[in-house]
Order: sequence, then C-alpha cells, then structure tokens
Amino acid sequence: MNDNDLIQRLRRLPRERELSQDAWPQIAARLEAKVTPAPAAAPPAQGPWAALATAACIVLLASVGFRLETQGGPVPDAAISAAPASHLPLLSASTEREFSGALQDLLPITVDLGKPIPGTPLAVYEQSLSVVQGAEKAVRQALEQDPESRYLNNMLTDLKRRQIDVLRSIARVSGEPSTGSTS
Amino acid sequence: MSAVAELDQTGAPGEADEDVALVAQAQAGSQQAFEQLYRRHQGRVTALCWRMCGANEDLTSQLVQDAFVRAWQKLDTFRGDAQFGTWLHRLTVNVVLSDRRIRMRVAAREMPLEQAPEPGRVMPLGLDADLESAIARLPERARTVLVLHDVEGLKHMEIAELADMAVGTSKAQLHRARQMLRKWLNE
Repeated sequence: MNDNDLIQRLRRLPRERELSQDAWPQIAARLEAKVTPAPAAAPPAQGPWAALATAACIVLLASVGFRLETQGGPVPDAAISAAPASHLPLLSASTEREFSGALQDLLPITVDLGKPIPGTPLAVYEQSLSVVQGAEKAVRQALEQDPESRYLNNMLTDLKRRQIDVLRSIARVSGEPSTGSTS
Repeated sequence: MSAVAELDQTGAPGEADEDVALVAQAQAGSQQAFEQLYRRHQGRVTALCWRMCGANEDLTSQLVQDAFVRAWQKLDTFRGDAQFGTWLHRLTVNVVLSDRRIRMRVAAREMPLEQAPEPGRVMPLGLDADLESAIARLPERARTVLVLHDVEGLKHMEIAELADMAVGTSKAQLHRARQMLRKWLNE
C-alpha cells in the first residue's frame, strides 16, 4: 500500500459515529445548572459549607507554599492559591479532611528542612509536588471554563490525593513518621 | 476556505440555514433548539472525539459532553462568520487537545502517555476495523495530526495552531503516522 492508497482509505472513513448511549441527558443536566448561555449565566451557586471548604483549601495551600518557599523548596504556582474562590470546585469533606490532616503532619517538619540536596529523595518528592501542583493549575484553568465538568472535578480530587501522597513522603524522608491521623 | 468548511458544505441544501435559525434560538436561551443542534451534529463530533482519543468509548462520551457544554457556554461568541459545524468542529478539537494536555501533565510523573494503556471500553470499530484499529494504536501526537489532516481535511497551518506545534512538526508527525499505518496494514 502506498501513501495515495492509504490517504484514499482514510478519506473514505465514516464521518459520523454513534455512542452506545445518548449523551444528551447528561449534557442537558449540565446545562440545567447554567439556565442560559454564558453571557447571562451566573457562576455556579455554592453553599456556606462549600465556601468554607474552599477558603480552608486556599489557606492550606498557601501555607504549604509559604513553608516550602521559605525553606528553599520549589515555589508553588501562586495561581493555585490565588485562584478566585468563585471558580474553585467543591472538594468532598473526606478529601478535605485528609488533606488537612496530611498538612498538620507536614507543617511542623518543614520548618526544620533546609534546601534539599539534588538527587536526594526529598528533592525528588519536592519536584513531584511541583509537578502535581502544576497539573492542578491546569485543571483549575479548565474548570474556569467548565465548572460543572464531573471529569475535571474528579481529576482535581485525584490531584489532591496525589498531593497528600507526596506530602506524606516528604514527611517520611524528613525523619518524622506520619501519624496516620489522615488515613 | 479551509477543508473543514468545504466539507461542511457537502450537506443537504438548507441545512446550514436551519442551523442558523436553531443557533439564534439557542442564543436566546432555548435548550430545545440546542438539543436539535446536538442531534444534527453529534455524529460528527463523536467520530472526531473517538478517533482522536484512540477509540475509547468512555473518554469519547465524556469529551462529547464537554464539547457541547462548552459550545453552549460559548454560543454567544458565534457570530455566523463560519458555519456552525465548522465552529463546533474547531471547538471540539480544542476540547480534546485541552483534555489531553491535562492528562499528560498528570501522567508526567508516572509514565509517558504514549506508553500508558487507554482505560475504558473500546467502541466497535466498524467496517474498516483494521484501519480504525491501526489509527487507535498510533502515538497521540501522530494520531492527532493524521486524523485532523487526512480524515478531517485540515491544513498543516490549522493543525499547528490548534495543537500548539510547529508546522514542520505537524508534517513530520503526519509522515510518521502514515509510515506506521502502512507498515501495520501491510503486515
């Protein structure tokens, strides 16, 4: 088969496909929350609990950023902690508790940390933390366009869990056992 | 005029006019009109998402939903300069590529995305199963360029802009993709 034969086959492929299940019910459910197209749409409503959870998340992330920055570690992207509260999706209460607990383990330890030596586990974990936070930033930017996306919200929750894993690893290699209060 | 726009004009006469009327109603807030637009265009959007994401049905379903939700949100920006199908097609490509960038960043610390197994169910491949299966096997970037260029009819300049890559990279990826497909199909 030469290039022309291949191109002809590719051009003849069906232009349409059908999903096994109609996607409209899910789309309609997501549109319901918005009522009207974008210009007239208000930001998704968030209850008092959501506002508190969001605020707590911002404060905790900012605290981690401050601690790591003062100890010479990677500087977390300010956009993560500075994201406007109205665009932050809700985290589940259990995820938030887990995240908060991991930070309580970590914060006392990070005070005594120096600049990590390149190649050491600590440096690797801090690099990982930076990567995860970068991914979180990307997800949050996408969520600003589509706050109702279940897929993006699930991904954000997953990234939170990954941050907890990394924070626990940092605590472990820093010589302090994680208390397990967050598991 | 891009190849995509030309392809859109192959529809039955009057379809574009019907789209214009439905878009106007949807812009005024009619979800019924938007559902009609969904019914008219979902097959094309599904095929595009399905091929670009490697025949993963779960991901395709999610991307189709995301594309139409995004279209609803952005509908006020549609001015009718291009046909609705062209506008929706470009928006869908952006949704798929944006999703991929996020997944790549998440996967960066675990394994290269092109080595990662695609989760979820695989849709039936249809009449050209060998060709569709081979396309799904391609590395992500090569598949993106091949689908957009050889199946959807975009030019390298358009692909480079959408996929945030150099025109030369787009051409190189297309060459690589065709080479791999020919090899697999000749085996």
